Amino acid sequence: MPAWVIVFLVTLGYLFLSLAIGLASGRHQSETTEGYVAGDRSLNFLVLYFIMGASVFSAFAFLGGPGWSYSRGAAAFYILAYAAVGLVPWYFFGPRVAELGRRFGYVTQAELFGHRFDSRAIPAILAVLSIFAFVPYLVIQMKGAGYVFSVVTEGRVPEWAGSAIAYAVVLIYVFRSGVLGVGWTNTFQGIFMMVLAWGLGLYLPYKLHGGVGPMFDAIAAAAPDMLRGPGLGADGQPWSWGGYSSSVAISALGFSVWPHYFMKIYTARDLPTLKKTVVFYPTFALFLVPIMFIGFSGVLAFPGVVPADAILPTIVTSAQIGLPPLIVGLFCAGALAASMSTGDALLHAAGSIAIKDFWGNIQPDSLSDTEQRKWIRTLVVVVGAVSYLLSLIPGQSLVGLLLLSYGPIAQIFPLTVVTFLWPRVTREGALFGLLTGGGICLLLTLVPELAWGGVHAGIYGVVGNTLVMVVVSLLTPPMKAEHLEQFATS
Amino acid sequence: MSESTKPQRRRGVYAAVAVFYIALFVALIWPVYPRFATIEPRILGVPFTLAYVVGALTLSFVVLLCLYLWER
Repeated sequence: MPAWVIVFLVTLGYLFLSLAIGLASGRHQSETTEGYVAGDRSLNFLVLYFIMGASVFSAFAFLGGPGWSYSRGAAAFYILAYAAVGLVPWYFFGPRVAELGRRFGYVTQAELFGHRFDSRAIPAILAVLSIFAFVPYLVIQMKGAGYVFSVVTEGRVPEWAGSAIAYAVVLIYVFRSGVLGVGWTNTFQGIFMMVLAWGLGLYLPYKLHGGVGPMFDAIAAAAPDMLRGPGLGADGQPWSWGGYSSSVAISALGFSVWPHYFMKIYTARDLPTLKKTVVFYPTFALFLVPIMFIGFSGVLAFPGVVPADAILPTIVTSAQIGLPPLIVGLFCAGALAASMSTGDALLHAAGSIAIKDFWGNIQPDSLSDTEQRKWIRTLVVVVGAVSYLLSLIPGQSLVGLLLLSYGPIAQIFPLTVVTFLWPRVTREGALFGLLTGGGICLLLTLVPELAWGGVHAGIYGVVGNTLVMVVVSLLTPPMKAEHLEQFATS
Repeated sequence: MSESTKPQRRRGVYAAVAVFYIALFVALIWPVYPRFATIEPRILGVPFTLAYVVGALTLSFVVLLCLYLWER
């Protein structure tokens, strides 16, 4: 049997296993919106840990992580830096969000803010913002899945068909099993990826250089700028500290408020489960270290790979390494897992947010709980189809879209902080702050020359957002004390 | 510790931990991190740029774990 057939069969077998786990996990879920979106608030530590871990292991990390360390060296460490602090805010506000979620039945992020600020405009704006941020992310995950299939079969299965196969599986289990399908498949896929990351991350430096130490000796001698902070920029010249630091900052600020992760706070069985997930999150991020070793192992052994994101598949499938087809197949399944475990959470959240936060505020009380669940599922399919069609368009514009999306997401951070720490903040303050922050991001992304020092547009947005929110809140009458009392938690 | 002082003490500890994490965040960006973003000294064969960030990640885990255990 030719090697590619074995690789292909392993990959397919993996997909079937994911589907089986995804379908089996939804059986005990109640037939309500709360069941479909928040898993009846019953998720245990293991599942929640892996749902959050999947945020690290997206297609971007699995293919882009080695790509960054391969082409930009120490610049890739920014991912570890933000992971060190990114989820910590959850430890402080997460329990309060979860408590309010139980009390008032929230299942999405914007429901909390809409209620706190007694506003229909704020959740609707947040919904539009979230979905615009999700689509380019989904497109990248789908492209990653298609790429894996194409490499595995040596081009016999084209990329468009590969994305379609992988995401058909995702759609089936998300449609059927909701958040529990997402959770249990992520657990399975997460364990799989951890084993693979450490295995390959230690084996490749050993095979190519005789170990991790000798590998860095060789790079330090040949290209020292790669190992010194802040590494290299996209142009191959040393990166600016402004660029590095603001990438850490915007990611750390945005990370804890990404709507599809934020809403997972509501799924926790109890507060200790939630806190434990936050505590152990950095242990998952440590698995990025071997992923980066893979990229570094290729710097001297495989020079000139373009695009740099292809370095991992290039090394794994190379004759020089001589990995058996079974291992190559497992690697390809791992890359698929990375794509699917991020894509499923995005699809699930996009459907929930579009119906609960956007439609629910434009046409309040127009849908019953059963109808809501039906429409969320329909929207999951629609968003999946739209993203799939966009993934077929070749070109670089998507990277631009993704950059555009990260800044606006970080604008939710100041809103979250004031919600819990500053009762004086008013509806008008929150609304104008959000609009100002989003506007600044949009302007600086369209006209990058205005952003001083190579600092990320989102940072200027957060500063403007916070200032406007504070000033406008102080200029408008405070919200009623009886209303605010509802949000006091123990 | 009496019941009435408990929440107050928790707030104090939370504030201290929050300050620690803000400091940790600053330690990972300009102007602090550039002072440590050098290749030498190597730790377990890994350049100091990377060892420093992994150290911060580990420290983040340990501090939050201590807080969690203390609360229980």
